[in-house]
Amino acid sequence: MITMDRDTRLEKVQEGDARLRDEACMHLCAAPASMTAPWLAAAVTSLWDIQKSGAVEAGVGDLRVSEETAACVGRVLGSIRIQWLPTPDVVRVSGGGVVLRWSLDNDDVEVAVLPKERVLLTTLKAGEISESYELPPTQYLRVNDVLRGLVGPS
Amino acid sequence: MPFTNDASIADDVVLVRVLRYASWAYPKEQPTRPSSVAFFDSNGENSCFIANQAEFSKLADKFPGVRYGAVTAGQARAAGYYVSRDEEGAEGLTGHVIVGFDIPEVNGLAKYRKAAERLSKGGSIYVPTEGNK
Repeated sequence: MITMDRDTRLEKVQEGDARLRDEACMHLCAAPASMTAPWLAAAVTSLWDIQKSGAVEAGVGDLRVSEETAACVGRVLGSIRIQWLPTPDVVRVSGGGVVLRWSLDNDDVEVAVLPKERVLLTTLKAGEISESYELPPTQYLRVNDVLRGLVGPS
Repeated sequence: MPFTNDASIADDVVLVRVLRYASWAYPKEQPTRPSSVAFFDSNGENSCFIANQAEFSKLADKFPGVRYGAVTAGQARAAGYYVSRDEEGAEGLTGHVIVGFDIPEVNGLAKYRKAAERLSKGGSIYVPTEGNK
């Protein structure tokens, strides 16, 4: 089993500002190695990059991601119990949303987190939507089932 | 102010969306069309421009190097969106419109996501011509 050592995990967050980096270091140092995952470190780093940038841009939209929305993305990510996954694309959506997208071969799993804790889980096969439904906060664990379907049993 | 469909914008009018990030185009490596994310504004209000009224030189100054995604007003309406003028919403940039989606209360996000998928798949990458740069 391949795991990132502590230094590698910390390097993943070196690009963040000092406050976020400190928080990240504390979080990662506190987490047992068996609970960390390469895809998660990359996703969290991308999320920080998105949250610390972004502005209202006339002609495009409001590209800011609020702390509340970023925290909701964090709760979705934190509910995922699978260590080995493809690194998701973390995409900013105008209007303050974030889309997480895991892709493998012709299949995709997408979680859209929009303001006011609206979360949409969508699966796609060969570019066509198979399923798309909203997830209330009590059901974020359902993302695990869908992601297991993407990567197969581990 | 709520937006409503503007029937004076004909179905064959080309609308462009600034593809602000590489992930707003599909596929990322050699884009041929906008991605669904480009038409999935969280508030259901996607900022676009009427192609033959947009000032692409100003847009290029504001957004250097970006690509533009194109759909027609008819494609947007067929996917469930409305098209509404919004000249005041773009700080002097001409031809601004909202390609909007009224998100239903029940299962609304899923319907919106499907509409975004449908609209983006009918789209293309728009390259401003010399005449409208």
